Amino acid sequence: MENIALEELAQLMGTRAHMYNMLSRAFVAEADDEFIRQLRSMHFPQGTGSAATDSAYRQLYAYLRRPAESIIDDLAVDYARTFLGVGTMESRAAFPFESVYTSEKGLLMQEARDEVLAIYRAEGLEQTLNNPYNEGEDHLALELLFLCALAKRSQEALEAGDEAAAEACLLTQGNFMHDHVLNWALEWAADVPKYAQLPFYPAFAQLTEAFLREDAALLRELVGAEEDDRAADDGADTTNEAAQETRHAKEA
Amino acid sequence: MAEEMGFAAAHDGAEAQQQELGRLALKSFTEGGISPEEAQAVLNAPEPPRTWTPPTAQDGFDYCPDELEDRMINPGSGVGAYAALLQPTEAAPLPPHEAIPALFAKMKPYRQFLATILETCREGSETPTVDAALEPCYEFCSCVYSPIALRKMLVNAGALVNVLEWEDEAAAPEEPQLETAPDEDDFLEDADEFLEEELQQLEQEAAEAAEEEELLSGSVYDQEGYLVIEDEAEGAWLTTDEGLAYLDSIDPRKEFRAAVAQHPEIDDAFYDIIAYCAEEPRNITAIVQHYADDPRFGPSTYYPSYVVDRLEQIGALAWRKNWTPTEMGLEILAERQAQ
Repeated sequence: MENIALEELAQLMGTRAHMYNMLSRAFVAEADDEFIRQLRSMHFPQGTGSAATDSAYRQLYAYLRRPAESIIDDLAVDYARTFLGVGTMESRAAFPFESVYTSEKGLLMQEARDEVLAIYRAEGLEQTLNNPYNEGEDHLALELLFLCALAKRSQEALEAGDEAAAEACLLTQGNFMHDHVLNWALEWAADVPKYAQLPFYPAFAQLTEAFLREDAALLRELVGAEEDDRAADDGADTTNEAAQETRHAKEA
Repeated sequence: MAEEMGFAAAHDGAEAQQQELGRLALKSFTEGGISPEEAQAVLNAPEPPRTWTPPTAQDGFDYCPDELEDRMINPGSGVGAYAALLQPTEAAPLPPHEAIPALFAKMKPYRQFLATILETCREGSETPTVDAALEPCYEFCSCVYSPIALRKMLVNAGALVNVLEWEDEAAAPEEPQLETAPDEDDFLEDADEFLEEELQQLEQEAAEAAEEEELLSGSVYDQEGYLVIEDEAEGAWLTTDEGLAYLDSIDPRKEFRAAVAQHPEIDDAFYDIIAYCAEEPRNITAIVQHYADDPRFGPSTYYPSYVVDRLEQIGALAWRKNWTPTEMGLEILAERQAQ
């Protein structure tokens, strides 16, 4: 963090918080009029340096710029199909819960949920994150919201000139990202296009995956993690492979 | 004779055995019984070869357990074509002159809403105008469908079109047909397999790029090169010729006379219920109690609620927290009273 001005870094933290907030909103519940209106009013970045990010924004733009009259109903149906398993064979879906992807039997409310709940409590964010949503604490939207809250804290610490607090907060984000987000969210993002019939949620899943990879690299650079097994891409791939093996063994 | 005694062959493989049993049963009746040797021969007869094949997934059954234990564990499995339920076949679309009457027949309680949309869009109307015209109809929550859903039904039936989409399709230029080289096939046949795969991949990439280019055609960018959505006109809705023809053919008075003619045993009841509701708006309980002892109604004919439904569908009665005669209903009543 020495070579980056604190002011710029605080602004960067704010941008991260906004991004996590938007991604969280996309997955926590069905899209409503307000969310669609907000999306249609945004400028969709291009030339970000990430082909996946640019592609995801283009897909969102193409879908939203000529919305069908029944877009809210269509997206609600697709949300239920993609994330709740409604109307799919054997009720399969891309369930956005860490427990489903990391537990042996693919169930909800497993060890992952208990671990993230403990982390939320340790940071004093349990009530904030679970209100008004009534989901399991290991829901992707809540985990992204947690990262959003910590990014805001980092921003506030940097604006106050407290580098130590900001660095500690960034370290917490990096650890949480590695232990509870990248270990399953990338595989989940690959599952979303298998169930969605509209391009809206696959585009958001692609955007989420691309942003998580970039943010993990950013956190590594900021916090200065040097251990090989803390590298987000390698660690995530290894952990993802283990998660896939667990799921394949369960399905066999 | 065996068939008359009920020994119908269940399976092809057991037909011979069934016929033998039938013969023995007949003999037992006509000749006073069968010999022990014949009875033992039947008991010792080998089980006929199974010729019935359980249905498979190709027949539409995703699972059809054969063993009784399996059927007990999975009751109902193998019953019906489960896979077909997940992918229901769609009926062929009807032409507008058939689809529109079918829609109105299917949506009898909501005919007023559909007719209001078609009437409002006779010369073309924008979405807010159509919604405003429908708003009074929703005052007493008498329709579970939103204006969006109702318009979609009419569009699918061919009674309504969105003018913006219609104009886009009419204005869309035809894509030029590219001429292929006359010896293109000969070139592919002579090409190396690796080159053929490369060509296919390039073609696929070109197709994907063309598809994305078409998807983003007309895009707007800001000074940073970011994509920006500009508000577009919602377009107008226009009733089609077929929709207008059906709309103009709707004659509530004719439908009322037809309903009365269809029910000669309660023809007066149509007028009586309108008159009863004209005295004072009534709820269904009051109407049913008022005609509880009326000999015209009953399980052998119709109930008063049936007449109320028909009058609502015709447009002679409307629900406004109570059943109230409409303007048409009052006119019909006045004509009847004038006779």
